[in-house]
Amino acid sequence: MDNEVKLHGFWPSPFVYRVIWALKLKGIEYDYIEEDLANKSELLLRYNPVYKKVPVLVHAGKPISESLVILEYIEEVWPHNPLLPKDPYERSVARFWINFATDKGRSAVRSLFWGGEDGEKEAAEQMFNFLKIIEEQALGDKKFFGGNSINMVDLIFAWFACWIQPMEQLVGIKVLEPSRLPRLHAWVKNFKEEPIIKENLPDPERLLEYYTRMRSNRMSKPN
Amino acid sequence: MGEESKAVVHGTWASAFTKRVELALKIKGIPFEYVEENLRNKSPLLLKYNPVHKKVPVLVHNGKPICESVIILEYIDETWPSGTKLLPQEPYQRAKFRFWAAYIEQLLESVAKLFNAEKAAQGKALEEVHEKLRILEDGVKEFYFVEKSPDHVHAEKLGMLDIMMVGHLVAFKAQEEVLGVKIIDPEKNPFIASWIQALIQLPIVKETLPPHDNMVGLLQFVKQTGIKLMDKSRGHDRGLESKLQSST
Repeated sequence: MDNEVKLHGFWPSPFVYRVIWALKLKGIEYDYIEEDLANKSELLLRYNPVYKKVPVLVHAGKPISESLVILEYIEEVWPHNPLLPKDPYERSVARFWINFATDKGRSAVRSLFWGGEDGEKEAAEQMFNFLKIIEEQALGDKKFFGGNSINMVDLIFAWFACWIQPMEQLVGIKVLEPSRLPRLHAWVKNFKEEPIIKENLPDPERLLEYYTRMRSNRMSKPN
Repeated sequence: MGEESKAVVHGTWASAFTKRVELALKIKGIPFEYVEENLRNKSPLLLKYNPVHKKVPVLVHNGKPICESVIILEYIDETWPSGTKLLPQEPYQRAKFRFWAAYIEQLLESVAKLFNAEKAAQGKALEEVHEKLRILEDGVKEFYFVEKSPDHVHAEKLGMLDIMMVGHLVAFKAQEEVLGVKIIDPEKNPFIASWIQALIQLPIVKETLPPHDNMVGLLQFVKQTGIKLMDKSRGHDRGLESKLQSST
């Protein structure tokens, strides 16, 4: 029991994948427990009473919730193969982009998926503007956000590598176009080719199916 | 100490997020220069230092800018490790701290929602705030409440969670006055109320927070003009303070 690592997750969740990748990049053994979010386990409710969400990491019986908190914890307990810069200033810059993705990124995604107040075209433009800032200021001419190798910032932006595509298909608007966002497009390709990432991605068809169901369920509910 | 290694804080007087940074530096005993920004006429420096959000607070250290108050607090703790620790040293305790820090930000969004709410929606919005305070109370008790009294609250022992809450205290009191509601209600949230009471007595807090009347004036103005408070952002870029300054 002593140093066991367990991860409670849900297969379509990009937040769960961040943790999976971090654990695998550091070579940490863990047990994975798939949660049915429509029927949450007793354990999950006990471990994360505030949000009742996944991912939850349990280390030696102690639960940690919220993917960003989990990632910082993993980084501190297992500092080899670092996912954050050592220098405090560089670290603050990494955290800045992580925060940016979490705040602005999430609202851009939500607008795109559910249709923003001003319609789908507006939502797509909002998303594009967000991605342009990312490409120019966070990524620049680097191969990865982390430089020559991936780091925590890449793991956070992974949503745009693997989850945006089924969403673009569903909504019928391509946002991450190679002609408009060439460097980001290249990053997507490079990110997905990294061995640990390549071996640990959700099935795109299954994801599309899941998003399609989600969207039609919500759309059919009266407002 | 050369020019480069000094610390400069760009902020505004009514910004609770700015207060967090000032307080953290004072607790650590780090001398710094303060630059009051006019958010309706942002300095070229601010735009250079925070091109993405164009907001305060920004901490400039060794000529390099750090943005976002919580990120700044972590930077301060890492860069000046001696003296009071803003976060615990042990990783699991740190994780819990960060979890509750994120929760405090959510709580503040609910408070902003309450402030922006129409009269009819105020009751429900207030309930949401009290509920979140209840959850926060339960969560942070283990860090603070030994024998039901926040006796950890001494100037040399203030940590990140204290700093985050205290920044908004004057705003809470002013909001209560402007809205005519009790946000921090000792009957609904006794531990929160006593925690805040303890914090507000500390000289280091008293000297950092803006005067109550100034806050009330500002918030009355905001409420009258219907400007959205906070608007889901975690810094200030709206220049409300300077609007008030120009109208008085």
